[in-house]
Amino acid sequence: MSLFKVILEANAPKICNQLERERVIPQSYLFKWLLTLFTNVINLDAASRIWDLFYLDGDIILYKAAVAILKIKWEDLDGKDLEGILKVLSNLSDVIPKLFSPLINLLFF
Amino acid sequence: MRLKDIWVKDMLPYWHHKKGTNELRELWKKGIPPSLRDQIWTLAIGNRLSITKQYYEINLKKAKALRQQLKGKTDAQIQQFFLEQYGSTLTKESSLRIIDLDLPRTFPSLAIFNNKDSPIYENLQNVLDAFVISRPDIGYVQGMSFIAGLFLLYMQPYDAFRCFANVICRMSLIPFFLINEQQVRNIQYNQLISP
Repeated sequence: MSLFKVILEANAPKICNQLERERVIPQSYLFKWLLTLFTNVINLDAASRIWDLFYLDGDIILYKAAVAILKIKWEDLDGKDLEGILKVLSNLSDVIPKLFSPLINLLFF
Repeated sequence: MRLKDIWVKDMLPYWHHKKGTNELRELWKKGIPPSLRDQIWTLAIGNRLSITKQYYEINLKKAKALRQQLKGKTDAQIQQFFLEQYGSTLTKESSLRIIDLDLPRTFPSLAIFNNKDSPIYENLQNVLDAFVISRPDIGYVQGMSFIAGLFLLYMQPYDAFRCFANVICRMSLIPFFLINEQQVRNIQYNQLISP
């Protein structure tokens, strides 16, 4: 099992289940997030905030950040099918630091 | 005291003593003040690649010379040029040409990289060009312009280059950039995110 999935399952089991049920594989969204270190995904202030922590704690932060984004988006994802989920995950400009910052420090691993 | 003052007075001058302490960690987790990101990111990223300013300038000069040679050539002529000079049309130096396609698409909402005459457009092109020439095993991979672009929003071109190269060349990220996207999707992905 991948490290990302371990963190997702431990912190957000419901989301993990739903994504699995709808056959949304992490590759379909996470690849793009990681390849650009979140800079073309969310608001730049929020991405800068992820970078702050990335340089403190390393790679684990990238996975935690991805889980945090999924948690923030949970309400929009709930009940959606594969297509709907991918649509939500492709537009994340409303994920701002205010939502994001307190959450990322709470995630455990 | 404001967070920024704590960083400036108590942390930055004593970086090497404070590194790894809980005191620094707790402060860091509250977020880095944007105006200090250039200094703190630079210190935190370090310079494992031992990049110097001269190294940046040498590679930038080489990149500019290469761009000059490609100027005005047709696609077919460019292919021929790389075949003759580099022994292959697929050499990573040729990825210089993708940079031009990506630059205007970088942070479209900010509308600062879409103007060819703006200084920051040239800075981004320079940082990416110098990287491609200095790391022909990696070359330019789409998406890199965003990472270099964010560094440039906070720091000067040479510092941005040094941080960018050191971050891209972290062992855990390199598989992303070394091979083409499709290959990463198919093969490397699971290895990369498995412990």
